Amino acid sequence: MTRGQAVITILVMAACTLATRALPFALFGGGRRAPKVVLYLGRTLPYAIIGMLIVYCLRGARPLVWPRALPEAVGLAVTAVVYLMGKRALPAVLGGTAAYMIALRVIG
Amino acid sequence: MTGAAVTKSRTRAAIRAALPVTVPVLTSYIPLGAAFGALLASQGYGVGWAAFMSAAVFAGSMQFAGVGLLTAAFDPLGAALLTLMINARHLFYGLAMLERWRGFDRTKPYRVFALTDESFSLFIACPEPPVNVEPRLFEFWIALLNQCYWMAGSVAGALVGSAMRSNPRFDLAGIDFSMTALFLVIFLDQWRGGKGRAAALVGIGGAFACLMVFGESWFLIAAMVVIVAALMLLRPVIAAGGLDT
Repeated sequence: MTRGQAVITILVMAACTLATRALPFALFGGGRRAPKVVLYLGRTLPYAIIGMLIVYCLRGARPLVWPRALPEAVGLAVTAVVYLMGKRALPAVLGGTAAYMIALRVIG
Repeated sequence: MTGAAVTKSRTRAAIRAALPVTVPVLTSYIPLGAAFGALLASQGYGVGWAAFMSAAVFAGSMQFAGVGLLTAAFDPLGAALLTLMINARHLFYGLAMLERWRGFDRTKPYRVFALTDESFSLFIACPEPPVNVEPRLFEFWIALLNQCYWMAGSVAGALVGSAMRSNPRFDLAGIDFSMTALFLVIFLDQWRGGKGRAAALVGIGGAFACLMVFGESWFLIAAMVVIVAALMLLRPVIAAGGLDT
């Protein structure tokens, strides 16, 4: 990706983020009710998209080629255990990432 | 007092009222912003890029996903779709603020632009500022302080990440797993809440099926289409709460 393409990508992200924040004011500021299907997608998409993003992050993993996916498995397990023990995001992210980076070097 | 002096004292009162309210966001935005900045810098996008993204986009999980977009092939349409879908939840924040923010003043564009999860939860948690502070100015400063924390964290993280990247003693391979870990934590947090489990399974299942069919370079757009289609098909069930327990 060139610098120009990176700038365009970021501006696209900025514009679409602003669109999701401004749309309700632009469309329903005059007292019109939001269509139910919009409300439904707004309510369910956040859950679905986080699931999709996990798959997206792991798209390069090869679970069937031993032990290629072992670092991913270790990282996910440590992240989950630390999170479920403390219910705090930051230690889980740091611990899981550290475990992954160590496993990557040990397993290779 | 002159007009300028009145404005200045009103601003000062609003900042003084907003500062203590934003402390919980400070303690979460600085480390999370730093993680984002370090991740971005580890992919070769230094301090300027981190500041630019945090200034222009200002959306946590989207910026993490954006690091992935910046390291992949140029695909503005895919970037647009992904952004709209990740940030679809913001529609609700806007809807929830419609009544309270009816009418226009010059702080409104920024308040809308900066309506993050954290700012929104602060607006909901503390609806009334002290009597001498204008509510809209109070909210404006809450949002602006929050973005300052986010930018400070991003820039600090990017400085550290860039320094480590240019020093051969540090090997950052695998630091991009922090994005995976963050999404897993958000997923677990949502799952524990008990809501949206059916939708979460639709997301994982749809994305996985598309990954198998289309391969890792092409599956993301297909997955977004499939997920929206599946959610629409399952709407009678999910909307009724049948699968959501």
